[in-house]
Amino acid sequence: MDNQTTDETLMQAYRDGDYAAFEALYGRHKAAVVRFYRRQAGDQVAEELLQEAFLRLIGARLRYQPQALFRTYLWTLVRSVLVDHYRKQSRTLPASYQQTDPDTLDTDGLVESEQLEPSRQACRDQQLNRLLQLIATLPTAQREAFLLKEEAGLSVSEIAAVTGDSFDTIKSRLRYAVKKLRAGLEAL
Amino acid sequence: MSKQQPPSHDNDLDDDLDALSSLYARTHTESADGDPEQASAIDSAIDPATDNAILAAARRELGSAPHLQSAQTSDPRGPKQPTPTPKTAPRRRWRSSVTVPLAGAAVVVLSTTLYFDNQQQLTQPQPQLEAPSPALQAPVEVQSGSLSQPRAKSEPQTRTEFDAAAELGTAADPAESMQAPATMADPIRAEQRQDTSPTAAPLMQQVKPHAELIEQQSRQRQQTFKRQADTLAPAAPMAERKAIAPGSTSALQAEPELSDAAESLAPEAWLLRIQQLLQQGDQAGALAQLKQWRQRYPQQPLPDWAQALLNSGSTP
Repeated sequence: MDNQTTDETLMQAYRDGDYAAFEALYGRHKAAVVRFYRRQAGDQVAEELLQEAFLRLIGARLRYQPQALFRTYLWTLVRSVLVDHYRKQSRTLPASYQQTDPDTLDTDGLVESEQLEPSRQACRDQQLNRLLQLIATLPTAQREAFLLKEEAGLSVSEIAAVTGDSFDTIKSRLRYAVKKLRAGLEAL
Repeated sequence: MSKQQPPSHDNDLDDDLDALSSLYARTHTESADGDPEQASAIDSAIDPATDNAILAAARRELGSAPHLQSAQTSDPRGPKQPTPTPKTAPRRRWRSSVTVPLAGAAVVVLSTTLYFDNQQQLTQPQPQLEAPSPALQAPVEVQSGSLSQPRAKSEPQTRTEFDAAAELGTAADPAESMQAPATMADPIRAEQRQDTSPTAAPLMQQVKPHAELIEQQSRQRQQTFKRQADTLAPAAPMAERKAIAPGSTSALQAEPELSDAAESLAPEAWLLRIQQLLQQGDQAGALAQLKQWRQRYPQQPLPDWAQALLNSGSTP
């Protein structure tokens, strides 16, 4: 499949029965999705969530309409799988999902740096390790906004569309996430 | 969906995000050992079983909706062959099962109609006997011909036959019945015209008893017809009968004494009638009849005696 083919075209092709189009789509997005899940939910469940997200995409293929970016469509599914996972784990969403005041954001659902894999801990590039640790210590909503920005490549407005939050809320979350990451890196 | 541009006062955020983005991207491609593949394998590693499960599910989804399958997903059963529509077999069954009963029913209806027609003609008084018109000439031949030939080719000869023909939808023009074809008057030739095809042979065997019955009734009627004619008028000498009907195909056609309505006779028969009147001494009647004959048949050649009669009548 041509690398220049857009995601939307591929999804339409798969909707119309082209299996190779799905293979191409999966190859393009699986790494970002699994990283997102690793950061947000840990290595133990990342692949399980990845499988669930793409199974939902497969099941929803006939309903796909190329009116929005496929990227937005996919990451909405990815996030909804994560939200369902949160609900299964704690029966309630992380408090940070409902809070808009960055100063009062909690750290529920954080993946503690101690839980990161040993191989990552062993990275000699301390800056990269520190960045990953700092990301892991971010509040869930801020981390989500940051990961959607970095992993999915979504814009602020697209992140707002995926999460259902306002543009300003997403921007605020991003601002505070960047502020904390910078502060943590500078302290290194 | 267009990417919304941040306000100018957020340039610091954009710069910080860009710096963090480049740094974060390195986490995907670099490990502590500087091996990009190893770092990528750590962060993005997916169990092949998970990959296989997802891809298999995608393939199954396509398999469950065969109407949306493309050419790339081949149907293990192979391309569906269109079911041939059996067209010839029902037609043959229709021919064999419907045509024969229909033909049989048509023969029964035709035979019944002709039978009752003959019964009616035998039992009812026939005013045409005194003045047989060409339409009534040779009833035997017409009926035998109608049995040996398709109904559409036979001309109905009486009102009853017209009605029967109308019921069968084969009514002919009554004017055509005035000229009975000479070939139909010959029973032998009519019999030779019988359809001898394999399909018609059984039908003709069914019709044959009816034809014989009708022919017998017709002979009886012809005998009755002759008896009544003999009692109504004196018969002409046999030599004269043969002389007046040289071109006639029917002996009955040359029976002038049977007709009071002379105009309905054939030209030769009418002339014979006029000659008989002349022999009986009715010259005025003979002359009047001859003038009518002349008007009716102006192209017919006039015999010498008739010309003489006409001349004598024209001279004061």
